[in-house]
Amino acid sequence: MPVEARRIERSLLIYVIIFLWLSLFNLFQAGAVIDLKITLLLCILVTLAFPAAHFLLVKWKAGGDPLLFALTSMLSVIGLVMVLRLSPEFAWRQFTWLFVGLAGFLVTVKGLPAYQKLEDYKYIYIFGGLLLLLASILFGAEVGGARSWISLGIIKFQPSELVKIILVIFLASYLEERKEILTAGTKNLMGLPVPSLQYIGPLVVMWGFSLILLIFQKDLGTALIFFSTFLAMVFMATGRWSYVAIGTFLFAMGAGLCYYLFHHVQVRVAVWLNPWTDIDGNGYQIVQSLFAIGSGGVYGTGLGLGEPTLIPAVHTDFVYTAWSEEMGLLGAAALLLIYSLIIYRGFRIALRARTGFGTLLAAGLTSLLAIQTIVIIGGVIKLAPLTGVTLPFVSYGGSSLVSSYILLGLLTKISAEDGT
Amino acid sequence: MRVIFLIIKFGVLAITYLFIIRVFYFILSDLNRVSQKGRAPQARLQPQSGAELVVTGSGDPSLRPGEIFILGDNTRLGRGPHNHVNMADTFVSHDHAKIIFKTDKHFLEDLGSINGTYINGVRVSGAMPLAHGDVIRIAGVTFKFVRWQYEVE
Repeated sequence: MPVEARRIERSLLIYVIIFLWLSLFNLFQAGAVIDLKITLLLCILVTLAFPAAHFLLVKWKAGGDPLLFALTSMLSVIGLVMVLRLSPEFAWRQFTWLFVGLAGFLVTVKGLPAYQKLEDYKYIYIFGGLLLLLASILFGAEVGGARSWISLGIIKFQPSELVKIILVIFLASYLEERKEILTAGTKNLMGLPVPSLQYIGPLVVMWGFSLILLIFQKDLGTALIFFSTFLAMVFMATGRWSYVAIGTFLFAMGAGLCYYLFHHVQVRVAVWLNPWTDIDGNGYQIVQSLFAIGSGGVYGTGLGLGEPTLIPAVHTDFVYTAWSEEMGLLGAAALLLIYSLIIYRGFRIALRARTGFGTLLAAGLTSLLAIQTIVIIGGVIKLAPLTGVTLPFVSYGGSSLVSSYILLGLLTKISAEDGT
Repeated sequence: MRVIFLIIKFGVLAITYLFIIRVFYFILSDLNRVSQKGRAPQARLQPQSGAELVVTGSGDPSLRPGEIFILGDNTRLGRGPHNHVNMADTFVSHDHAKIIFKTDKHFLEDLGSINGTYINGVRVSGAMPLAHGDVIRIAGVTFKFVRWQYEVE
């Protein structure tokens, strides 16, 4: 029963709100709050906004997974606290984007007639998505080496964030349609079933698409996320390792080629392998990140008491580092636990979905979230080359927050229609 | 001052973990519920007669549309926990109806329920034979009766 199940959401939101005010008090004590009045006002609005969204969901009998919204609220509030801590001058923007995101979430849950409808119009919106991406390549502004922003006066947004979701919806419907052929194959090559060119085409197109993104946008992270999500979805639809192997091989070739062609890729890799040789130059950011995480220790320095602002771009790419420094290993583990729980719920929704399209869509969206989280956290702890993508729901950044909430809306929608 | 910061720091950590523990607890009870619901009815029924009830519409939270109950020799429907098809709706009687398999046919019999059992919109009195495709309605739940040898898919 939806109303019954939402009770857990309500009690979880109370924890979220207590967390917000306790952290705010902490920041105030540490002297990190610059404009108390505006900060208080924004926090009161947030305190009202989450329960308001919850009550709307109850009122609409929206159903759906009761944990997802609470879990992502916690992440958003962690994000807000970190923005207040790291760059209070941007705080009001992040708060505004959060309200837009919540509105986007509610519209997705309520406004979308039935998610199955998404299956029917796939070519229309994939075309729209590609146009957006093309626009960002042609007219985009370059920020931090990546050319992925479109500027509309005061608002800047990153189309690739939205395109990610569009792509997952498209792939889900495409793969659902061609699943059998892709699984069985139409030809045989050395004992492996190989579908003929018209069916393997999309694989090649996706590969090219990611590479174009890589070459023209210089956005390594997004390209990696696109392609990994794509491979994960192909694997989930067909259950064939051969696609994953071929895809990884193709991507490795493409990435290798980029490494030789582009200087900035070489720099990224060199910094990843050994940041210490260029500690005051290119390696500065990642070395500071490692120092910060190390100085946090197990319990952290406490909010507002560390020195995470020494890291350049700390409020977007390195928000995980800042959180680890100030809340320590325990805080960082809590953050990772929350992500794992979201991913668990996402795959559970996928398993319970009644149509193949629903399963693929939920699993694809969850993979997208998971891969993005791995890519950025892996980057800041020097597990993988650093690529500038956002930490979903936490990082400062409007496009990322809003599209994450739309993703959440879609997952909720699928679970609402197919039972939790 | 340092003590205050220490207290707040652990307070923030504690609330984060309390949140996570609460979620874990919910997930555990949720998993228990699902595993019990999935196992119980199927285990007690023995598929011999080759027919099933498919839930086609449900206003009842305990039954999901698309859920399938394989019919045995004597399948009982009702609100009591001992029933094979266990419903939660208060409009359903404790022992509402039963479907018995006799001489290669299934018969639906109402067990004196208050709100009645309907086959294709007609209220059941006595034992009524079921044909493939019949729609059975009890309170807010509709089932479709499917005999396997007739099933097209």
